[in-house]
Amino acid sequence: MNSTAPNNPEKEIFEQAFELPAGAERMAFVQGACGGDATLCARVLALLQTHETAEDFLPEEPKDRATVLLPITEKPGDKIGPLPAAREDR
Amino acid sequence: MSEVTHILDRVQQGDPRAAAELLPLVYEELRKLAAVRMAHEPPGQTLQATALVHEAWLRLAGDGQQDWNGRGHFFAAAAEAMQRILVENARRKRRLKHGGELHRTALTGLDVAQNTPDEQLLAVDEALDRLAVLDPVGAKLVKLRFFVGLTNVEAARLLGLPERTAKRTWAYARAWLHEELKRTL
Repeated sequence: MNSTAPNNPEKEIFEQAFELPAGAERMAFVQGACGGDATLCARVLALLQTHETAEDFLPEEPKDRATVLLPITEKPGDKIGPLPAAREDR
Repeated sequence: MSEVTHILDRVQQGDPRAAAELLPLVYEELRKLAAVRMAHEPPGQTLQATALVHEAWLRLAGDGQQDWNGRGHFFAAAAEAMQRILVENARRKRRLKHGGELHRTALTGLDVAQNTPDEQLLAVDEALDRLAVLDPVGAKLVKLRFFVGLTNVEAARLLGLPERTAKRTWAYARAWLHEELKRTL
């Protein structure tokens, strides 16, 4: 799957930093890897910070798997219309 | 061999048209299954997305003859179908509202699509389209987690990702989505 991955330096640096323990070592790595690009550096550090702190955001296991369902208005036997057209960016 | 099994075989052989044929089949099956289920449940009853997708898999692909990879393609299509169904519904509700202006809500947490407020759901949908360009695999992981309700480990296994790769990919996609929603919501 990686062979088709788009070029994304932000992701590459994030993922390498992710393997390091949070703290000075990680920060030094990011600063080095961003090579003086302050915007990229701030962005990667913000993503790492989010990773460490945003616990309620998409926890690894869903808290509520069985919630409300699919809004279905058809009844059995109804003819189902065509799939909504994909947007161009898909 | 069922129609879906046949299509999954072609997807695995790299036939680009096969993937496009898979989505409508999965989409219709999910809607039909959900409609039948809802007809037999008392009003106000809910269905579980995860169970629904598993049931669709059993019905369409049959008795477990498909290997892991075929399963991954199927579930990815199911996540996409769930996304469209839920997004269409949120859009319809928004159109029905008078004024129709966006009612932005603060981003606190995010769990599964079905209990996410409409405006947030629509924002997640748009953000995931952007993520799919930057990080296609990460976007697939998030879709399986958010729209189907799989754990991120189940999602990674379905996509055939090694454990470490899965952890890294998940971490980036999750953090990216959070930052993106903070910016847009």
